[in-house]
Amino acid sequence: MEYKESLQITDPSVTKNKFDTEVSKFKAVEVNYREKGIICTKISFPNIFFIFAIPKLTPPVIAFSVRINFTNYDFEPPSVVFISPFTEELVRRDQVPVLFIQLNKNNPFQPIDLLQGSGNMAPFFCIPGVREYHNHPAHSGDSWFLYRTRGEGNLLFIIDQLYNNSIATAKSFQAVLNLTEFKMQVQQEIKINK
Amino acid sequence: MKEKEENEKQPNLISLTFIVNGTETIVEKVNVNQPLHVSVQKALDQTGNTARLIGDWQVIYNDQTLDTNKKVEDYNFPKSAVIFLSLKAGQGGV
Repeated sequence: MEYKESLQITDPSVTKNKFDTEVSKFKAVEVNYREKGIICTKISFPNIFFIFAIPKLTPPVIAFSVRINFTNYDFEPPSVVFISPFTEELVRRDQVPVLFIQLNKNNPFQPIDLLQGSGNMAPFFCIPGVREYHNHPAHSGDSWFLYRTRGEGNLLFIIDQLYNNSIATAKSFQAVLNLTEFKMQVQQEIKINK
Repeated sequence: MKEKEENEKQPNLISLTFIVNGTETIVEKVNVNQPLHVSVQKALDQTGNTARLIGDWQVIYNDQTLDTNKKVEDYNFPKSAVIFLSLKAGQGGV
């Protein structure tokens, strides 16, 4: 799957300092976010890993998982990639069974899916304050430096946007359990026992 | 004790807990008859988030976006209520 990692080109100690600040801000309110189903699973500079679960549902489900990368922060905004919550491998768009909907200011009847990318491309979260948005050729006129000190792009902003635009209002889900293989195994065992 | 006595004297004053972009703050002595945006503005001031207009913020409680023009008492917040303020995202999508 196509995904370009950024090289660290700014002073790593500055990035590390800013990364630690973001982490400590999150840690101060981590309990409140955990109650919403946002669980930090690993912090390993320059990455932070999250699982987004839906605790309101029974049984609670993992909706998606992300890795937020702070390479060159805040000369560059953080990168958000969607990963498997179990293996941490990148996933395709069709493996993220959640819509990230934003109302379209120009056309309220046509909401925008904020999770872009299809086929062999790693899906990316397409809002100002996220590296993939600012690096995309369609947004070359909307520089990160217009947002850098205004709040967009910090860790809690990104977490809030991932949550508010997707699972915040989820009330139900459908699960299909395929038992064909299990049935076949049982039938085989019955035959063997006979 | 003193605080308890004060609360008994002024039953229409409550405290509200906000998390503004990750920073927790408590706005004291909120008059329940005031519109919610008054205490939202105080929470923004207390956390130093004054660079953005109040309209740039989403006010969320229990995963519902609140109308800040409504009175505080309309929402009947419990004592343990935590109200989240997060910046509205700019227009996304390609």
